[in-house]
Amino acid sequence: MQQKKKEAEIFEAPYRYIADYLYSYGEISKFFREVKDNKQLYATKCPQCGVVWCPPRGFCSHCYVPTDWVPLTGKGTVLACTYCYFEATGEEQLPHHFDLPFIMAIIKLDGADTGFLHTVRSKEAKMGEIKAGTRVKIVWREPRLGKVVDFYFVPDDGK
Amino acid sequence: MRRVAIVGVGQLPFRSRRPDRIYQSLTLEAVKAALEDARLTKEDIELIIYSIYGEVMLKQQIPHTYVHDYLGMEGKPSYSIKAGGASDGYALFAAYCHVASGANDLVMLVGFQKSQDLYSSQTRSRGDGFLKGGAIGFDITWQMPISPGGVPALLTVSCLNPHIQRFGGPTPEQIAKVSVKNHRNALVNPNAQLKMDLTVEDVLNSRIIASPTTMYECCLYSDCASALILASEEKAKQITDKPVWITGIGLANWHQPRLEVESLGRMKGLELAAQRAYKMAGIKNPLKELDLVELHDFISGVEIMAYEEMGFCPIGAGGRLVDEGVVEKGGLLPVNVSGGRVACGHAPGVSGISSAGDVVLQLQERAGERQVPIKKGRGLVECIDGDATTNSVIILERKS
Ligand SMILES: [Zn+2]
Repeated sequence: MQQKKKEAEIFEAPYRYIADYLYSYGEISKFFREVKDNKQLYATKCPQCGVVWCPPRGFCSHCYVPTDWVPLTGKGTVLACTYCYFEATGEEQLPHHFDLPFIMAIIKLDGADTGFLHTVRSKEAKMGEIKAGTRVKIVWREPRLGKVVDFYFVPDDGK
Repeated sequence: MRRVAIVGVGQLPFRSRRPDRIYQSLTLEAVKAALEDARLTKEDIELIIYSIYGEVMLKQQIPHTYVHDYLGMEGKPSYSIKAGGASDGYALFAAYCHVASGANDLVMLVGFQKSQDLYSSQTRSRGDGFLKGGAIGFDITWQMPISPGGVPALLTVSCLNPHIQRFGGPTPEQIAKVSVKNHRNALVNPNAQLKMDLTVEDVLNSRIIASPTTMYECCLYSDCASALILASEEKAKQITDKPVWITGIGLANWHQPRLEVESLGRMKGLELAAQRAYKMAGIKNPLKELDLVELHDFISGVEIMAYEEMGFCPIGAGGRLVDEGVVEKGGLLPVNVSGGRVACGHAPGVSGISSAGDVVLQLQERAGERQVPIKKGRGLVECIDGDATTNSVIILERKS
């Protein structure tokens, strides 16, 4: 009873913290410019150790040297995935809505040495349809804003 | 290096929300409990190290300065340690170093966190507000826009599922059994947030969050605070006749989101952290040399992976420990006797401090109904963050 009374006396006030950013992609600007303007994926290659980074890195984390740009085909292989039946709704940070379930996957893009975390869409979204080893290809969205959600992946039917 | 003991434990119940307390007073209650446990006053404490996971969730930059003031600690130094969901373990390391080095004799470690003050005015949901506020922990450019599923989805895709593919387990039933075990353990923990007697079927039939991880296999979110007092050997012996010594401590970062192909399905940072802690404590076979383990089960599948990375069994064999009952409360090595993050509760940056407190109470044989037999006098606390990037392993020991 005492607890109930105390709870009733609690006063709550709204507060909104707003911080708008206009942030620079720095030396990886080319990746997003190519995504937005030319529907082309790029990775970066270390001239010293040869590792191909995608997401791209302007410097190789192994050798600390500046990397070179190399184009990718936009095709790749799923290394691991999970069917997500849950998302935070009302997410205005996300420019695109995610239909449930959406498939979160680590994709090894052809020509890259690192895994790329992204989403795979499929019409049926049948559990088990997308799995390790599934070949995928990129699909470009319209309009593109220069964000990682400007594209997604679908099963590559070879067409 | 000097020996370092834990001489005071301050725990609070994990609750989904504490609208009855501001974070300053919530922290004061935990600090008061630790001081009372050690029969010390705040004047005795030389320094406070705070463990803070998320300022956004506390709606305040540098919140520890306001807590420090509220605790009446003026004149004493303080700083905060931030290392994701393993901030607690990393902060414990910092507090340990202060005493081990001789810089201080009595140091307090304090964690506090609220997450459910966040709110989505769009959906009128605190859960959505929290997920949105917490999303800033993900890389803003590459991860956050495609990670609306939050930590369970990220851990499932980057750790659990590639592990299942590479090593053939654990099975959905083994993962569910871990959830059942932790929920059952929580039934007798007065600090536990969720008390449910579940069956394997209940767990498997609960809502899928990120396949194969189900709702009852995901960690809770809590408002909580916790404190520990660390002392030099000389001080410890004055304060208590049951000091619990920190005999091993290991940390390692392994940036999981880089997703280098060969580390997929492993938690390499945890393996390294455990090896470092075992080397320091002189542990050769952890399965046989420990009385209990408290660890961060953000998803139940990752608890099984932690058995493997910490060397309780070979990589890929963790599911067997579950099937054979080894990790049950009555087993050879009980894991998450508190109920773990899925049932006891989870306030990031606080949970590990509370877990260390749990292991101290167990080693001192004053854990009440959840007491396990103490035969070896050693326990382990593991704190990792939500994508196994920061990893810490701490060995606690009651020497006769
Ligand atoms: Zn290189």
